[in-house]
Amino acid sequence: MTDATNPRTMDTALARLPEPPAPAALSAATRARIARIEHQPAARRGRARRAAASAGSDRLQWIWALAGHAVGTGALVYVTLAGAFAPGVTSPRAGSGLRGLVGMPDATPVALVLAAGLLIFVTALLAPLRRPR
Amino acid sequence: MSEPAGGDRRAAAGQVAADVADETRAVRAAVDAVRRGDREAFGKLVERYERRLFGLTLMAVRDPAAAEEVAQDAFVRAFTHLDAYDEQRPFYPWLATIAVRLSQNWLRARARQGGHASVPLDPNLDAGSGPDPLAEIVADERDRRLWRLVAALPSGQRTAVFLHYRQQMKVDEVARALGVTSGTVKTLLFRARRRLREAMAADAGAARGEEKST
Repeated sequence: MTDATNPRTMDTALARLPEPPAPAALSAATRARIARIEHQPAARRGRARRAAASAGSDRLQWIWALAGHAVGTGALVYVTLAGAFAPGVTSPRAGSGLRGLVGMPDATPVALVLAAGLLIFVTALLAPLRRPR
Repeated sequence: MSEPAGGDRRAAAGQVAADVADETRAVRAAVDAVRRGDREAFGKLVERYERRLFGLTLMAVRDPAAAEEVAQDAFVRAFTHLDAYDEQRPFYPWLATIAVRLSQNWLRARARQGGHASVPLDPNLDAGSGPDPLAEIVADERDRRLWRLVAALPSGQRTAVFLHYRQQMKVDEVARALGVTSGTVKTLLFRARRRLREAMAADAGAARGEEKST
């Protein structure tokens, strides 16, 4: 066939490997298959839009959950600090057993804030479960 | 055959560069059109590359019907994933990468189903009696012999040889297509050349023996 010991001859032979003609139906069959495919750029744009909307919604839920968390933490800090600095109303005669007790501030506004914080937090936390897939 | 003169070589190189530039322009125009929603424009890419791609898939899977199917699948996959194509790179190596992966999948699936029984162009098989299926595809006898020698190489070697030598792809492009490193491609090519040298020498010896006996 060729002088097989010569590397250049082999390169030339390999570069001349036959490239058989494609079957006559290949182009037509491929075009037909492509014609049956859903219009990809439009479909892909739609998917991208849905993904972007979903990412935005996730971000909002995170913000709400963190806000609820912040409100709850704020209320707890308030209760702790208010309790620590509240004037002691127990009698000194009650003895050392009551020394650890502190006077509670008015609980109604704190409880309301805590409840609101908890509600926001839980609502945001459970939002992905309500979202239709 | 005499070596071409320096001026001729420069002219030939200039012609190749001009052809490549034309091809790049045409491919970019077609890709842009497809991305704008003109799916008919993809037909131009199919027409431009069907022969090259079919040659590659035929060398990879060695079965004309499967090669046609894999080539079709590769074009369809390229169409549906055109967003992933980087226009800064040449189109054919990207398309060839898809075709090589699909060919590998086909070979794996066939191996799972149990071997070589349905592969008419497998050069490891005894051709036996009946018409030669390769003759329907490759007319010239010498070309057929060369094709058979290359097709007898292991899968990775024959694909690397075809991509690098026949389809003029660079080693790093072949590496990307095969999903291996450039070093591995160089090793594949080195081993392929060694095997081919032996096979060509044996083939030439056999041809001389045939001539003497006739």
